Amino acid sequence: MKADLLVLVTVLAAMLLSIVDMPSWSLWARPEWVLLVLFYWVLALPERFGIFSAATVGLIQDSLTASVYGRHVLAYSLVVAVVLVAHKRLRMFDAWQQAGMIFMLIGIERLIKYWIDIASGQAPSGLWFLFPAMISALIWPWLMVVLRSLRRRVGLIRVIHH
Amino acid sequence: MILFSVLLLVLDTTTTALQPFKSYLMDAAKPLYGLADMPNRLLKFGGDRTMTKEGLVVKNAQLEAEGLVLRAKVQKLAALTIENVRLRELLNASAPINERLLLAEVIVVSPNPLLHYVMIDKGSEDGVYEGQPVVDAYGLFGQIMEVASHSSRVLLISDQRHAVPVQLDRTGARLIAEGMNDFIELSIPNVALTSDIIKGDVLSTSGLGGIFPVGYPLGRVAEITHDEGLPFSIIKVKPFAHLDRTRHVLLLFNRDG
Repeated sequence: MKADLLVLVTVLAAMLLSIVDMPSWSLWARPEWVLLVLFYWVLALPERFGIFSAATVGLIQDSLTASVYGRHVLAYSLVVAVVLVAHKRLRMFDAWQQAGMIFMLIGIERLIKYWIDIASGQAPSGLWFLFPAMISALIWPWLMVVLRSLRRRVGLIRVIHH
Repeated sequence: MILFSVLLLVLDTTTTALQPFKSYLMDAAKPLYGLADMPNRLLKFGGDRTMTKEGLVVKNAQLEAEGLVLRAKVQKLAALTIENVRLRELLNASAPINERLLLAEVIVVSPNPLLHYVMIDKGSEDGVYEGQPVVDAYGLFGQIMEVASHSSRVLLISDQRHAVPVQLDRTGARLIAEGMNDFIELSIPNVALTSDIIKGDVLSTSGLGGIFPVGYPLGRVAEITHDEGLPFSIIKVKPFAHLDRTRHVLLLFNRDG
């Protein structure tokens, strides 16, 4: 119960961070908060959070950011599927190796969203759309530590299946 | 899941079937927007509370002076309106529709630098409709693109998908001002190298296109580049509206109902 609440609160906080007002010059430096938090919970509890959670969160995110509906749903569920498949390997990585993977995954997610934007009439805008992937990767090691300590505090320990 | 999202994408781009669901979600997310706006509110609240007495006195005096000037201007405007109505009657022209206004507050701005919109705290319950023109205290701001019952989204004139029919105040030439995803610059495409347009010219809405009423100031021509190698001049316009700073905007009701 307490654990579900923690997941809910962290995801909501991430959504909040993804729409909170920032100076217009720094907009490209906003990390993909929601996806980072989603990655963490999928890695920590892959038996409970997966593609369906990703799609649900994606739909809400579509609404929050006035995107074409399905944009975040598609992008989130695809990369979360990759994390789900590779979660055992990803857990073995140290924080910075994980950050490298995060960079690739969020880069893919940004690319999917960029394709959808172009297909729905947005003009191409150079490679800036990949910048948030880099920022997100740099933030990942710290975010992971914070979320892990929160998770341990509410006693949400992973059940290991063999 | 891929099929589902592709279905969503196609549905949303080609039909309006998702509209009720979208405005429902937008309403449901309202508390989150309120929370996201908290830092701004707190900052303003703190600023208001910690202002010194001298500061308040000065500000009050400033506002009083401004009020006086504005009242004087309104008097002149009233006289001009009467004159205008009389002249229109002489010309047998139809009277302009009486314009109603609604004040709205900006609650959230777009988190996406490639998508210029703001969210305001008025919705269909307040009579807001899609395509409604929005101005701020300085000039043309944008138009309503999505309405929920207690909030709506305003597409800014600086969005790359937005274009406004305008005219030059000096010559009356009709042009189109397009957004370029830049808060302080719009562009005017397809202007012949020989056309009479100079730096500093003021542009207002022309009333063509049926969305924006005539005569709202848009901006000033900031830069003209004549390149003989190109078929058209490159013209940059600096909008009057404070697109990235305004907290309050006005909604215009220029159609009946």
